Amino acid sequence: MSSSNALEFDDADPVPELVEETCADASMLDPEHVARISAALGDPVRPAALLRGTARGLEIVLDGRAGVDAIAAALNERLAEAPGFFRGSDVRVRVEDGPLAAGCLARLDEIASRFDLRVIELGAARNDSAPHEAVPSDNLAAGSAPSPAPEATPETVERGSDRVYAGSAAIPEGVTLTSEPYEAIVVDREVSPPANSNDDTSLDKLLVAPAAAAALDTLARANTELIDLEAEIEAQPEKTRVVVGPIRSGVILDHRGHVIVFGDVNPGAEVRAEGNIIVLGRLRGTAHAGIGREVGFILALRLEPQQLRIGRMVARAGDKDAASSEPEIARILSDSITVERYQGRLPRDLAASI
Amino acid sequence: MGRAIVITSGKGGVGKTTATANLGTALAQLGYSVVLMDADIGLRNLDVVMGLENRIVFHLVDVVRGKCTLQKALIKDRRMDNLWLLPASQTDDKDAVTPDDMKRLVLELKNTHDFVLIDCPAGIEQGFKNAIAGADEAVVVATPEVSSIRDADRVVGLLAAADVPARLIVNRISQHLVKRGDMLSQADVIEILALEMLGAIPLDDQIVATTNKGIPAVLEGKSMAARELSRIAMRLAGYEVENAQPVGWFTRIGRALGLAATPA
Repeated sequence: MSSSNALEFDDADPVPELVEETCADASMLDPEHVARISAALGDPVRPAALLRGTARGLEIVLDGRAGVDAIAAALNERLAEAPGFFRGSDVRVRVEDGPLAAGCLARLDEIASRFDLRVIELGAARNDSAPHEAVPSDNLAAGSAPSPAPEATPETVERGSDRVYAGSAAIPEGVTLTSEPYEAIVVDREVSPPANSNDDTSLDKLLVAPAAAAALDTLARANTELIDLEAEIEAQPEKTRVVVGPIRSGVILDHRGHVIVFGDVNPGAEVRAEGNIIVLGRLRGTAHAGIGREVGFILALRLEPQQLRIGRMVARAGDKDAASSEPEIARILSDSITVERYQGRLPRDLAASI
Repeated sequence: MGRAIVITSGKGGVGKTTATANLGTALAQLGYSVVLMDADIGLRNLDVVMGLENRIVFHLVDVVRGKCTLQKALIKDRRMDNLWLLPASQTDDKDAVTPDDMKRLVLELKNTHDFVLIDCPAGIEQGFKNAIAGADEAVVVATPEVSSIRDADRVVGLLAAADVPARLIVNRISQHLVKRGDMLSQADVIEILALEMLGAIPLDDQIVATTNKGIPAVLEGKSMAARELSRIAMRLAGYEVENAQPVGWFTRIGRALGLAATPA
């Protein structure tokens, strides 16, 4: 059900009204009300903790209504079924019908370290039945309370305020969507820390930014426990990830900052980054830079990709494109992805995206 | 303690089983004690290629289920005293054994033999996981085709994740097609897969003939493919063997003067 590539799942849309109702309430940020509606949605025999493999990796789904012990027990049981299998994995934690009970995070941490898991994201559950629509930038720009607009998924119930801010910082004002939007990528991902806000992506820094003033206000009214959880995750600044290749077919490398690959990215592999992508080798797979933003570049010593994506734009390799013989850089120029020879220096408009 | 080597590819039909049979036979010719293990449960082939199918009484799944001892299931080769086959079952499926079963089995075989060659089924599902469970190292077989290379690349990634070091055999390469630009060269394959190369087996009619007769090519003939397979077996055993490049007179004289294969 959950998949990072929401593009394939767009047509499923069974309960849109319910979702929007939830979201409308979410804008008031009344957790009790939200819980009541969630309960009304009804799924009485859900386990306290679930393991799920998604296209982006392992996902742990926790039931926010369950007690700390129930969650810990269920999680322990699931993980113990195949302890070696999960070792060293990155996991994303989703909380359904959150917030989590107090003390749950500490237990989660303890369990994660026992099974050698790395929690890389923490957030409210997303509902796959929610309509995946591209977020119009002007909906986000004002930094006001979340509107019950199409982008409001249950994710925004708890993360709404944060999301509004992050979105407004990530998508510069005045940027309009092109006629060929790469839908759902933005919606489907977690809140993007603005990669152009210098280097620190911690929540503290985010809140100090002037544009966040309105969001801060909303945030203050949100559930404090959840903010603590997020602060803990966000407190680990991740700017650039350096990887030694080759990145092989079937591997998806997903990072919230910039990515530098020493070596090749093979056909069938995919590199995704909220920042920019630099491949010191052959890029023959797919690269998606500037996720959640509308600016970014992909630079490779040999740019021979299956597909290039920047923000919501997609470009496909031509059927008869010659292999490149020199470093090239791909970026957005006048509403399309343009590839040009890399002349040893970054085009001026891109320097700001670092 | 012997070495367990899994022969795998991801894609089917690239020559895993033929390579396993021939490399095992060649290693036995070098004097090592070798077990060929068919991990393709439900679709066994290795016994046919080895010409041993009518001698099967017990198989791998019987051993795992405790129906017989490991020694009873091992079939001695017709031609060599130090070559054995552990056949797969034809009736069960891949879930009949677990990776732990395989680990135990391979360990037991390693205790009594120098090499355990595991013939891996195509795919990356349960059968693949079983086959690599007990392996110390892997040989990835790829043909110079884009689809085969793509699958091999994926398999190499999975092997790396499982901490199994891999080396590469390029199979069915045709020099004149490469020269004409109609086939990927072995250099192209290596460039994508970035693996150490054990050898490149030329496309050879004789392999087809011997495989159908149930006689490994390395026993039969002096074909190009058979000689390359023997060289690969020597490399597996740790010998340094020079490549079979088309050689000029000077090189041949050099060889005659003692630059032949030397132990590593």
